[in-house]
Amino acid sequence: MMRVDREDIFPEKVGEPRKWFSEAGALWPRLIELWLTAVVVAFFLIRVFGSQTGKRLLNGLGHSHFQ
Amino acid sequence: MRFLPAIFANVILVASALGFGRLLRSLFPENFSEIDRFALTLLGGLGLLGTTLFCVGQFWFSRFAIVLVLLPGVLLSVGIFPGALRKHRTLFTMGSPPILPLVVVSSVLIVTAIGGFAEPIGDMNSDAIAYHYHGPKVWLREAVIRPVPDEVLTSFPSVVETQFAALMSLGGTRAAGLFSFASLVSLLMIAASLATRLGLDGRGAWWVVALCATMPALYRGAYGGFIDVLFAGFLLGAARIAFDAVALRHYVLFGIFCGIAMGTKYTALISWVLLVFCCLLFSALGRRQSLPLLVKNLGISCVVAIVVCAPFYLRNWVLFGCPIYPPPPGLLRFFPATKLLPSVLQEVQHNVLETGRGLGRSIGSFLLLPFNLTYHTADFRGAGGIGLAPLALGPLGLFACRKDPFAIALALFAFLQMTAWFATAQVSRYAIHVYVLGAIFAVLGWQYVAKQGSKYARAVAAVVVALSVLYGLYMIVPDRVENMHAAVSPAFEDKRRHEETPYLESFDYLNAEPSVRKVLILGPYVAPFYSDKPYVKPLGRWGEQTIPDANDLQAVLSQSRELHVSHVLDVFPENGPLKLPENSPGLTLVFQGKDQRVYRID
Repeated sequence: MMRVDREDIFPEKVGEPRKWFSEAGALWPRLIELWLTAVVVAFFLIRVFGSQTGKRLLNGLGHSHFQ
Repeated sequence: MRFLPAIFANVILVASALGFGRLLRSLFPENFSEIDRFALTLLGGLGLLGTTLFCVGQFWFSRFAIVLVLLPGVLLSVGIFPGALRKHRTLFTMGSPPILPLVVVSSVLIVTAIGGFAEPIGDMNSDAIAYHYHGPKVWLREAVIRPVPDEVLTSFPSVVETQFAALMSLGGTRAAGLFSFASLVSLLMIAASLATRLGLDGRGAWWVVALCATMPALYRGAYGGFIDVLFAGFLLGAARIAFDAVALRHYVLFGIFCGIAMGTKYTALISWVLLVFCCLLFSALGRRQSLPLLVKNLGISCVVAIVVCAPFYLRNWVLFGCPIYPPPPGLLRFFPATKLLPSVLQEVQHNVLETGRGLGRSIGSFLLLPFNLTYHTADFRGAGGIGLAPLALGPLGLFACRKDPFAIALALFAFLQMTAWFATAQVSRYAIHVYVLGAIFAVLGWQYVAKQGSKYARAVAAVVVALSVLYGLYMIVPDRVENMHAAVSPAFEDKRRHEETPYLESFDYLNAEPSVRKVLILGPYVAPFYSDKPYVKPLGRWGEQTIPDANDLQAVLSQSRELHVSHVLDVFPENGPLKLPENSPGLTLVFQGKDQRVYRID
């Protein structure tokens, strides 16, 4: 079982902002990265590959690959 | 050479607007920057000019009358041109303009300018042909501004349409198309103004402008007779003033902009209430002035707004018995004297509900709105969307400036506005002002990521902006290629005109034939915009009946002499009850084309 570092979750002093919620903490930058990546991936999935043009392009690639 | 009248008309109109806008400059807060002042001068001037043209046009709307209205504005603007040119260089000198957004914005503006020269074409499905350009053309012909009887939507508020009329009068229909350039520039200026107010530097403001210019959903509201970009500019101008207002004159200016917006589009009535609410809330919380004084100032701003937009609503009240016309069903309880046929009201209402249906009105749809507006804009008639940046970076921008009351006030306004939009008519064009705010918060978010984010986050944020801009250009430019081709190639324009103008041969005949005095157009879906001669259309596309007690063809024809009709245009296949039988007595066939016939009344 993975050991959870107590300090990461529980601040030592009452009133001190929790590290995982503070801007300087490790989670916030990761969340930003994840959010931005998700938006870009969704764009490719929905607007590019999900569009009629994208589907035609993918179909064309598939046909040329199997011929 | 064929472009010169259009350019001339637009230069005169914009110069006149700047002159009218100059009258507002004494109301500006002292701390407004040059970009604020220029944007508000241009937008305020366009609004005042449109309102003045409307008021004068109720009595007299000849070319001479239009010139008389434009002239004082032009004279007023002469004095400010050297200073304005020198000062508004500040836009370019807010640091050296970054090359990428400069290229992007220039490309979009060039496409807009060239495409704007194309003659408008289309059928009654085009809002421009059906009423935005059609109303002005009829007003000019009849030398007075009155709603066109066969098109109920020409009774909408018309700050922008009166300017289309002025442009058509001075430079033909191309001039009205070219006005898209001035409209777009006005909106981009106020976007830059708000961006600067929210703390972005010149570079950031340029990126805001680039993101706005490449939002296909925003851009669609700028051309083809649409008035939504200018409408959004008026609302953003009002917001720019509202949340920094401290003195009475600032509130008066806020009221003027709200009034102009309400004189442009009915949806501004809701936006006005929301702006007043947000202004009250944030000024009270910010304790910038005592509550009684704030309420008094906002009350005065409301009175000013009502006075500015009153001509449009009073005209409808006097003519039709209801200030908002066609009235929403709920309003009929208060204004029962409206002259509108119930069937017409039903048709219009059905159309409003149909076009504004969006993706439904459930809580789930509301929560998914940012996602759907980004990825499924076609469901809102969104013409290619708003790009990725508002969804990806907007929340981060909002987080970054969470302590700035001005930013929070704008964000609250945007949220309430989108809620109202969601509950009423989910048409993408109606939310352009919120898209602009989305672009501003996106650039603020980008700046935040650039400062706080990891190397990877910075790279993905740049990819988000690049995708937004490139995808926007990919959607916008091909959409305008045909217009640009038509503008530069008379042969192609003529070919396109023949292909896409319904019953063009008949209209060409009627317009060229000197014996034609007045045309009876029987088909409700025939676009009378193409008739240069006066016409009577007994049945409009919404079921409007323009000749009293003439419900069938015989009744219409029997009244045609009294109406001084000389020719009848009959088209087929055309849905409608007024079908002309073969060899009708009293009518001589004088022109025949594919699916169209013109008869002379003997």
